[in-house]
Amino acid sequence: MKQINLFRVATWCAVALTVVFILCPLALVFLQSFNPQLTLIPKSFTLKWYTMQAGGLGPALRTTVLVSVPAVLIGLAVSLPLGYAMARCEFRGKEFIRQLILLPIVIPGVVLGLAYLQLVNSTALRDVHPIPILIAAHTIIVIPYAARSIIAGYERLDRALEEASATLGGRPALTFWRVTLPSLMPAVFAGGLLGFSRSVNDFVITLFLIQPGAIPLSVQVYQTTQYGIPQLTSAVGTVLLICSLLFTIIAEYVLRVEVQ
Amino acid sequence: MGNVGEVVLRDLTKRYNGQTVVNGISIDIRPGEFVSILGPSGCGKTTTLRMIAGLITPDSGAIEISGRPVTKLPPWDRNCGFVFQSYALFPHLTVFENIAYGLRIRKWPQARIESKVKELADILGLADFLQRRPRMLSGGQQQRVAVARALAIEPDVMLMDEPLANLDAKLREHVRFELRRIQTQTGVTVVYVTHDQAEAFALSDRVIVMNHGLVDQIGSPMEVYTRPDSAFVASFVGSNNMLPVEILESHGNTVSARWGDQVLQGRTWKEFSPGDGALAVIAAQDFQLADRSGEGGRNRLVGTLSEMVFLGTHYRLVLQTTAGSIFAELPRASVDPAVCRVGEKVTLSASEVLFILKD
Repeated sequence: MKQINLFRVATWCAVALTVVFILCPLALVFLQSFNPQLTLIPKSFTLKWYTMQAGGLGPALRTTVLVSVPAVLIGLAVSLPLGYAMARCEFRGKEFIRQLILLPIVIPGVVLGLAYLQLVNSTALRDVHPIPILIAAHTIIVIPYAARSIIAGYERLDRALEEASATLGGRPALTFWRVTLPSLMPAVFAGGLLGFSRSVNDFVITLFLIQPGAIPLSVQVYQTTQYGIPQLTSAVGTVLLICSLLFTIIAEYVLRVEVQ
Repeated sequence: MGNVGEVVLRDLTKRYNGQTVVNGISIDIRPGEFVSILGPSGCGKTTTLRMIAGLITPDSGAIEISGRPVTKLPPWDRNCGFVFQSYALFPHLTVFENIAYGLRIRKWPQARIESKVKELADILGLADFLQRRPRMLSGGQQQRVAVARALAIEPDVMLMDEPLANLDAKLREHVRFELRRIQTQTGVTVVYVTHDQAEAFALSDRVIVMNHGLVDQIGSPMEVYTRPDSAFVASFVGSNNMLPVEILESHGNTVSARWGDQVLQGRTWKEFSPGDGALAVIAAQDFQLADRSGEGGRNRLVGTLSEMVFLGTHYRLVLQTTAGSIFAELPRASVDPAVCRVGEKVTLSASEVLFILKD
């Protein structure tokens, strides 16, 4: 009995801590974003912070999509052959490459961002539009997540499926499109969503590489603080929050479906 | 073409990491024949099958299918139907699309695909499941979809890799019967890999027994069962006693030999001279209880009953003789449990003894 009570106490402590330190502050941000005045509890409701020109919500959302969607697609395109090689081929240095794939997760974002900034400023890349540069950097952010999911997908795939296709007359390219890729789709989808969510949320690396007119949501939240209007910052932050929550939930759901 | 469905293997060899898995085997399979490759795991039977399909490239040797050299061809140019142990059904396609897969690749018109799939679905009893996904089907149904999908491409030869291994015992027996019926109905050549001798015997026109990458014996089930060529075949097929003996006399096919202090008489298809070492093979079912006092029955072996297990249709006995132990299976009706008891002296006589070479 005593053990069960202890367990209950621990559970409720965890719930309380979550509410106090995570949900309450987030709820406050959420409420503030609809608050016309600067009060703790809103007395009326407005959407003006969402539509305000200075908030830059529209352009920021546009930049986020322009950067993260191509980054995810490129990341997946790179991860598919990578996953095939890692799961199906034996070669020297395979373990090294496995570690290398996960490296961007391990390296501090500040260092990576700084490195990219110096690379851009000291080469011909300084004349390139910031969007392609952001896409390149975000591809690096996406790949560890996409590749990990796709490698796992390949490893789970029954090789006999591809062999069956071959004996039925399917050349390798046809087998890839009709059998391998459809079977990998849940892994591709989950990896893509996870990578997308990471890309949308990235602040540190992105901060080094933005230029006026090319500022994604995550950095825009920070930029708006200079206007001294907390409600405006809250509005941009709320949009970012909802975006990443949505994608994380979808990714979780897809992963769970796939495990079953 | 008179030889559609003929499969010829010549000196086929495959090594993995210096280990020879298939060691220069040559096999001729006739059109329309149902042939099983039987052997323990690791004997090279699956490797052989996969080489026929083109899923594994042989290190040396040649393969011909329907008179066409295919050794260098990839699997998609060989027109072999392959049924995998795991069935390997495409999970994202319906049963219909699974069966139609090879036909779509061959760009058959839709109407012809539909009639072919329907025809196969009727033969295999799948007509009600065509719009389902494979995971909604039972193991037996999935197995039939795998067979239908392989048959749909009208293959020169059907290759089956332990297709019944994942079914429960009762269903296995039923599907085994079905497979034979379908093969008779379609007339397709089948090469069937199994480690289950009952399966191989029930299905096949001929059985190929493989061991250590070599073909030990090829023959009809009856031949392989009653005339094992080697000690390995005798031990792997059926349940045989294998007694080391010394040849006493040999006249043509008739041999007598000494096992310890007992003398055995039987037949052989090998050449022996007196003094040679040999193996006497006695099937467990070829023993009868002999009257201890009387003289009836040849090859009388006297010993103490050390084990007696009731197995439903028969008893399994183990007898300790002065030369060694033997086991026998006797029909239930022939054993009187009141007389036959563990610890008692019992005399068995063997109606058939076959002498083969020691390995």
